[in-house]
Amino acid sequence: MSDYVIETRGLTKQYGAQTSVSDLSIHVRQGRIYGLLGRNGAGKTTTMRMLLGLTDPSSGTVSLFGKPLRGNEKKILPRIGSLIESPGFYPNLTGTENLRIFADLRGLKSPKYIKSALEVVNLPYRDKKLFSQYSLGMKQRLAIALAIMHNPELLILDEPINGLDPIGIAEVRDFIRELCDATGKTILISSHILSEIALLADDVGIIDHGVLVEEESLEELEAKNGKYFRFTVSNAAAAGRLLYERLGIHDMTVDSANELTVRDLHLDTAQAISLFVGAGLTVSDAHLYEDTLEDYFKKVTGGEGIA
Amino acid sequence: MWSILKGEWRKLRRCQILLVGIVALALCPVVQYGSQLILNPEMRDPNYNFVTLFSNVVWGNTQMFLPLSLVMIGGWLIDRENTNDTMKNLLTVPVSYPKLLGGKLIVTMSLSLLFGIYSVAVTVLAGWLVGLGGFSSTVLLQQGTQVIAAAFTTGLVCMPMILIFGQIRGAYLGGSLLTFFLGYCILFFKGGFLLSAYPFSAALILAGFDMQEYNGATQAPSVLLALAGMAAVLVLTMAILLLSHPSQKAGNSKRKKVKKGRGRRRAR
Repeated sequence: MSDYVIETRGLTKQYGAQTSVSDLSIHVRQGRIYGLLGRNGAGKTTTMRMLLGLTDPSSGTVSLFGKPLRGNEKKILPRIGSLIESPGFYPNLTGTENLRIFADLRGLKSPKYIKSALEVVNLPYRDKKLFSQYSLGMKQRLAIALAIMHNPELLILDEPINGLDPIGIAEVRDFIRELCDATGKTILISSHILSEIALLADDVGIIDHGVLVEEESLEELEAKNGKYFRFTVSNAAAAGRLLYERLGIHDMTVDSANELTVRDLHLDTAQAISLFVGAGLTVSDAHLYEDTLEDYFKKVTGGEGIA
Repeated sequence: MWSILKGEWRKLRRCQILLVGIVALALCPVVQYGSQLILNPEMRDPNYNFVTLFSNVVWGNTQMFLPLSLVMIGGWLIDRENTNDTMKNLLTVPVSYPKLLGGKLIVTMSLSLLFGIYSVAVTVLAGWLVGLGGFSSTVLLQQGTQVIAAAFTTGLVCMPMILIFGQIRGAYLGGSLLTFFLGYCILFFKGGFLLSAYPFSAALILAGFDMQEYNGATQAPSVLLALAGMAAVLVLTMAILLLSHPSQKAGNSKRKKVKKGRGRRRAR
């Protein structure tokens, strides 16, 4: 059996001449939170729809829990909870009535499933308020309740924090983290909000124009992120010469008359500063810098960063 | 299937679109009796009584009011899953799409029966209010049964239209108008093959409606041909059901937003 809960091979979706997703191969490990990061229109939702069988791929395969999705939908889909795009419910019914319809379809007889799902997302059980009267945040919470109601092993959540207020975002983030840590659920979450993925995901897939440009664990990405020292001194060229001659440092650049960047992380900064001061140079700033996920995103997508 | 049916009934709570059927079927006896009143006095039926009113209601229901209402309601039941963006939730349960459509048809057929019973009630009320004679328990049983049976068979005839126009987004209103036109056409078939085999005529014939007396049919209709016409409708319904598959756009709300911008009305 495959080690991956979700595995796609060469997944492609074309709408006429337009390619929405191209040759996508993602790998989601069990008990991990996988963040699919990309700009709006990058192909995240189309990918998730193909993972759920809502959209047929033009080519490529989807395997879930080690089995191909096609032909095994009845066995696989009940093990998944999903939230795709905007929350979809019947506006003439209350939240509880809406969940009851889906609970019945899933064979969940006891009302405790609905009750506990609503409790998790802080929505009242048997409230009289109709779905049409819900705020966007309440609708999103109800959609999350629907996704988790049947205690699925895998959650596929497309932009789950859309419409939530800052407190709601923090609550959902904590809740998702806890679901993964406490119950070992596997979670695929998509977002165009980079900070959310950075805070939540264990593994990250960066998708751009339908192409998966990077897939790494967050630690690996962080390790890949450039770290460097930057000194602001009275004479950057002289400071660079000192580091080369006295400490044997090669990997550095003089950025301007006063700024020196050193990429050799073996440098002892205290030693370097005392060396500069001893040589009569003035040191006004010394910092260790680290590229953020956004910097990395810009680098791999070759464009501007996202929110 | 039971859970699908239960869910479909639950979804009908507080649905204003049901008012279409309620109002239309309440109008039927009023319109039928009113059409008597607008005739010149010498043209009026001097023996107009409950039996005549019931027969007029059976005719009016099948010709106009039920096709319009049932296709609108049944089509909307299907269409709403896309406009409310709930189809994705159903398909990922997973619910079989043909079964889902089948559940909606069964609910629509149950509604046609309920509308039939309701139509009997409003006909009795209307006849009593205008002081028609000839009411008895035998009349109520015989004519009432015919109203309900005709409502059911008319519902069966509407099924293909419900399936076709319910699955084309926003087309259920157009579908109900087209079905209204198709129902209205029974007026033109007074003899030959179509008198019996035309599905809407077949619906009336199978309900025991006297086509010669009320439609001015020039010949006695054939029950066998009517059965064949109804069988053709059922085969067509089954074929559409089995060939139906969910739209690839199920759950894609982008198109819905565009339509909202055009000021399209949505029934709740």
